[in-house]
Amino acid sequence: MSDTLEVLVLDDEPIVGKRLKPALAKVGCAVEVFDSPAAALARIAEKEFDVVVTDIRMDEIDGMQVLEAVNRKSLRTKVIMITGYAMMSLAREAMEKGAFDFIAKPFTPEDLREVIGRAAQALRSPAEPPSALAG
Amino acid sequence: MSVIAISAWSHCHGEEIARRVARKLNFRSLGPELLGEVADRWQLPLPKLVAALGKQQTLLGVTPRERRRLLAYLEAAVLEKLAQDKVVTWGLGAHFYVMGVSHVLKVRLVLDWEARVRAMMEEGGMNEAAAAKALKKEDEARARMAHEIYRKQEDDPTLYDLTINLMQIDIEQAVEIVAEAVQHKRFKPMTFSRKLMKDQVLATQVKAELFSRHPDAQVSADGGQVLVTVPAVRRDQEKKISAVRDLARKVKGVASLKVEVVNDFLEEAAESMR
Repeated sequence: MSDTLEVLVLDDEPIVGKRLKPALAKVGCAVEVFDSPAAALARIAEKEFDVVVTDIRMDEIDGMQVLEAVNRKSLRTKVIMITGYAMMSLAREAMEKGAFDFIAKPFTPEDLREVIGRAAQALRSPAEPPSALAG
Repeated sequence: MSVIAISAWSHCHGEEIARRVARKLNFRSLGPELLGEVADRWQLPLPKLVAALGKQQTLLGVTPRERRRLLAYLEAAVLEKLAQDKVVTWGLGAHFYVMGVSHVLKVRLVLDWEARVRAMMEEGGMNEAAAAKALKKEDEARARMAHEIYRKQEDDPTLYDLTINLMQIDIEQAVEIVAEAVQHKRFKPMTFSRKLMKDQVLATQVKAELFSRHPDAQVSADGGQVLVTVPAVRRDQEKKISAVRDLARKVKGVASLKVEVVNDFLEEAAESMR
């Protein structure tokens, strides 16, 4: 793994990506921003990202579908789910499907940088042993 | 790591299962022994605190207001411990106030009435009628507390992630099931659930600080920003805001504070009739 963290940010509100891109670039992430889930999925199909940050509630394709697509492509990629409609059942579903973390909006770029820092650490540490219980 | 909240009527092996699960997972166990610590910390009468939870009755009972006050302190203390993770809690009513926190596995243990009566007879050296009577009284007190404070029925299965019938599953298996269930990914702590827990800790601490002078204050917290809503008659509103501010600011973790006042129509009506 190189030192630069390859991050894809997907949110159908363009302002989110616009704000997060410079905040993450500042800590050395190479960031690709998408506001169209279809375009993001196409990019995910061709490139293995270290981290994918995705909104959950979007019109055409929701964040859970994005999570599943990332898992099909690479189980190594850490997926961080963000949503303005956080509920316990949704949070648990995301974790069960293999999300690395789940964050409720609004959050600060600093909050996200902290989670991405943990994702980077997890990518560097040896893989967890597979568990029959874990999803 | 996650937290486990175990709920059961008395004489349903709640304590035994909680302690064994804690040992198995190397979690801390947090039960009614905390009540002594809470009583010391806030100088509360221990028998009343126990009675407020609907456990044993005191001679004069506990008024609804007193119960709310005592449980506000208890909630603050319990949540503070649960926020440290890797805890199995029972006997403190925690399942009521961690409802929305996704990394808390809520477990309900059930055992049939006859088996509970037999356990009560053995424990208290009573005959069957006396044991049944004592148990019924205890259950009623607990149900009253749950309804009065949390507007819930404690044995409603929709409050829990897992319900175990101890007439069909033995204690050993129940311990295995709970210990296994909490390891599912869905009960892993995440930024969202940790923040919820932290917000709840702060809100309950502010509420506990305010309770003796402002028992009707409603408190919520969002990342260090605290909102207190308190009723007051028109002419006292400024004074009340300032009094609430002085108390709430003492609580560690309050980054910003907003106090909203709603008109206390009942008090105003009472004053106009005096």
